[in-house]
Amino acid sequence: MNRRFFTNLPSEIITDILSRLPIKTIVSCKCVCKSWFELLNTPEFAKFHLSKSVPNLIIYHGSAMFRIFEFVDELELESHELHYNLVLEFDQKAFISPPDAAICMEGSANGFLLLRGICMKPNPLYICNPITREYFKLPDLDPYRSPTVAVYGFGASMMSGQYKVVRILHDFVREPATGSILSISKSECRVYTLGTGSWRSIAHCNSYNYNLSSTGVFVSGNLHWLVADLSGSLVVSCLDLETELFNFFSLPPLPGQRTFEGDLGVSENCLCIRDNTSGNEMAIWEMKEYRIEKSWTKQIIISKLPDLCRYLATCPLKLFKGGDVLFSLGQFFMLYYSNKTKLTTKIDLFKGLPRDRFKARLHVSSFLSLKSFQLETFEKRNFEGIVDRRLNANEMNMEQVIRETKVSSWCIQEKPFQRPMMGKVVQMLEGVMVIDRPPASKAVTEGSICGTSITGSSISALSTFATSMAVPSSSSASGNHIDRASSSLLQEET
Amino acid sequence: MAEENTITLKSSDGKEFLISKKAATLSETIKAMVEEDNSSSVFPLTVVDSKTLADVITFLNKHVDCGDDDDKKKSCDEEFMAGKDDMKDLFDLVVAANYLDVKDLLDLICGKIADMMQGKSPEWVRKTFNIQNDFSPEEEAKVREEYAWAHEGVEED
Repeated sequence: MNRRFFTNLPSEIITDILSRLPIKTIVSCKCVCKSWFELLNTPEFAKFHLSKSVPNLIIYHGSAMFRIFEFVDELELESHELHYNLVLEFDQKAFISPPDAAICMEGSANGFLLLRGICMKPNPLYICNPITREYFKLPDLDPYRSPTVAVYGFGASMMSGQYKVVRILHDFVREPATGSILSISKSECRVYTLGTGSWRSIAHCNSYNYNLSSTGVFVSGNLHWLVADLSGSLVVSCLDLETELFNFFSLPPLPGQRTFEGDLGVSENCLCIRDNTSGNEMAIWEMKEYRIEKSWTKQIIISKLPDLCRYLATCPLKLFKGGDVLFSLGQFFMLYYSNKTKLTTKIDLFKGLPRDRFKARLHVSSFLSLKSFQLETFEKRNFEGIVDRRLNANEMNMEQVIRETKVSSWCIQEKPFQRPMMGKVVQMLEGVMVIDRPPASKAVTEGSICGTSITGSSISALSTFATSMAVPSSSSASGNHIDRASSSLLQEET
Repeated sequence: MAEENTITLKSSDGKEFLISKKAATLSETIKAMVEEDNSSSVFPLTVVDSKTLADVITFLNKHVDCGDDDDKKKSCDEEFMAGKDDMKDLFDLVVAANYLDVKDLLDLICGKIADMMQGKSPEWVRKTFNIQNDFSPEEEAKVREEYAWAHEGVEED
């Protein structure tokens, strides 16, 4: 058989093999040869890889450092300490400004993270993919002040695959003497669909009190928060990201007082809740069948470590096949519980870093590119970003690329009357006619299904467009052109 | 009738293997061949050599015996893969599994190759898979620089 064997394998098989590798090896394989480089950069590879990936652990450490760990999940593991495979660590200074801003992870979906800067007003929100190192900032919302409660969530809708960021905000009216909550006021819910460029308000039930420190838990296409009604009883608030409708369901019969001590989490695609009401034990309940209130099952009971009793545990991060549990305690300790020995042990994932508080959550790593959200790329005036990187920058006329991007945005407007006539399109492309800034298009969002499929092809259509239309005589695209074009965009904005 | 339940597969180097129809038709390609041509009992496989075909047949027979028992399949697969760490043999098997369209085998071999590649450097990958580096030194340096974090702490050989 041919000695040059690997090169002759069908690309599906190469894709199949490479997609099984750890993230780090996949990235280092980009410099094996040109054909692998191209293969590994395709949206098809990103999609295939995502379909097979399992959640990793992402940890945000107080020193402004993120670490991503891959799990080894096998039966009969003696210890978990050695089985975390460190994928990468990266510094937020690389992409967030100001670089020392404290960050809160507010959600994760298909490899994208929702990050919130907590020091500045208004809190800036970022979507980033730590693997591709891409990010963009969402448009700012109105600032709010304490005691106003704001909670966030991020996920992808089930059917159309749209990525949505949610912010719920409310205030209280308190009984002046006792401080007890009389009613919820100024309640609002805003949704930002990636690709649309603007926030919308949606209908929202204003008789529930959200817990300031909770983050929307994403299960089965819906976001969940633990909320209390005015009498203090806890229920689950559930937002369907497809229909954008809220509904509420009950918790398992927790003993004792019901406070926000327990919190929601997700394990193996089930919604779960930690019951921390007992002093020396922690129980984990799983909702075995989604939205069936009778299916809440007490899954695991863990004895608390005597010396760490005073810390509140967060929800389990991961339930292993053998029944072991990984969870964080307070903001300083990562622990695992061994089902075999019934013992809880501290583990150290921060070797080489000073002791500091951390936040951990599960996160599926992916190679999906944020470039599929053309509008944000457009907003950033990063026109180079939407051009196929394989094209030679020197042979491209950036002015033309910008013009074509604007024209194509006009042509995919949802309302037919907004789309230009063919004759106008030709004039726009020829540069005879000034092109207004296109409005945020719903079609752009719909194109972002799973981040890749449709926009993937429209991007390549764009880049081929750019190649075939490149005019040799004016191929000296310079930074000036881009600057001028973008500043005119800015003016049009106002 | 024994003959009706067995067929003969002929390798690219002319060797013949007798195999039960039930095992052989776990391969979608052979299944299609048999359905198309009911009268013959010998099927030539021009791209699979005898060594590889023997391996594939061992795999198919094991899987027929396992039926739908996934645990049994898993231990069979482990037994089958024991000692298979020659990249050339694995490559022959993956090509054969792809050609014969045996999903379980393809999955198994792809997983094995991926296991062997874990944490290895691009140099190791090129050498082991005999891949020509077609980047110019400048281009390669650029790609490496862009993804510098992925090249820290990898095994060189």
